[in-house]
Amino acid sequence: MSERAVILPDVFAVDADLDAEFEIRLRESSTLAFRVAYSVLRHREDAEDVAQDAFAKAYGNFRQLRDRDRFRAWLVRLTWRLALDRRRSDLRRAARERDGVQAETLPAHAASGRERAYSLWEAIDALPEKLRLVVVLSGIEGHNATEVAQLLGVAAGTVKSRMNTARRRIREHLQCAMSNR
Amino acid sequence: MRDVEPMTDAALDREITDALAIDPSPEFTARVRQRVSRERRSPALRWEAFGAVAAVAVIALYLVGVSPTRRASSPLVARSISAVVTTPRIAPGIVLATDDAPRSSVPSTIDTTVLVDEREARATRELISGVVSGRVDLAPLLNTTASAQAFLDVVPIRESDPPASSWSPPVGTIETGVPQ
Repeated sequence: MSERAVILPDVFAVDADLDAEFEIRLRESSTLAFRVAYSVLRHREDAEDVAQDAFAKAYGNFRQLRDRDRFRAWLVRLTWRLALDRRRSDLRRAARERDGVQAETLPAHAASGRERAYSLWEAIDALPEKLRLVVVLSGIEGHNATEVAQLLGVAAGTVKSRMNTARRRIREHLQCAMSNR
Repeated sequence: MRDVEPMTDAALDREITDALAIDPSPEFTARVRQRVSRERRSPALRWEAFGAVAAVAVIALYLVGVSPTRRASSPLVARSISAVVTTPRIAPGIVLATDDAPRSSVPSTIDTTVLVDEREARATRELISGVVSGRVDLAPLLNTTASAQAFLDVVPIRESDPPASSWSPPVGTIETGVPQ
């Protein structure tokens, strides 16, 4: 009895510390996870669902995460994968993406800018996954090349190189799209 | 005329940033916290559920398969004596259950208690008591088939016995049944 009485508070104390730490990570990274999911799904509710799933999974494995400073990188990859899975599994995604771009992506733009934004998303979607992830993470929360490199676990030079390639392809896509209209 | 001039890197980056500047709903973080708290509780619930299922399984095993008293209290099922055990024939149409019946073919896992229907057991007891007391003479029955049929009339099955429709058809092999 005494052994149980001694051990249990220690276990609860560890769990409380873990929960407190996770709460800090949650506050720091909730918008990041949502935007990563949104960049794939282009639908607010779906992106929130996926981000929730990602945090739930992250919490389940948080204890096993040795380097807690890698949490954001870990969360980004997890969310990205979950969002891609969600997108693949939803055959109705294409129609909703079109609606989502028109209804949600461009609240800050004038109606004349909608076509432009739609073309931008088309160009981003057409990128290979490595380039697309760099573009998305660079566009979220003003991440610079070093921060994106940390999130992806690659060198900063690799991020810059990929970003340059991505910009060139997006620019070509946009020019092609605009000249065809 | 559309503007198709190339964009600068900064302009393109700004455009991408604007496209991604979507914030989650105000309730999003609260919903995530709820979800995480559910995840927090679920391991404990899983263990509780596992314990409950294990307890139910143990009780069910005890009641259904292990307890001999439960098995003994199950209702009697009428079976033909020929379906229960092979016994030496005294006369055509008459079979008796005896301890001398061959049991070598009975699997060891099967309860080898010989089961006799109540009516047949009563008839057999009357036959034996009749032979012992001298009321029944078996000598003629051993000689002719016709007299064997006559012997059957010595120990008739009474009308008060259960109807024949409650009997199982004989399968011709040794089976287990309800101990008497």
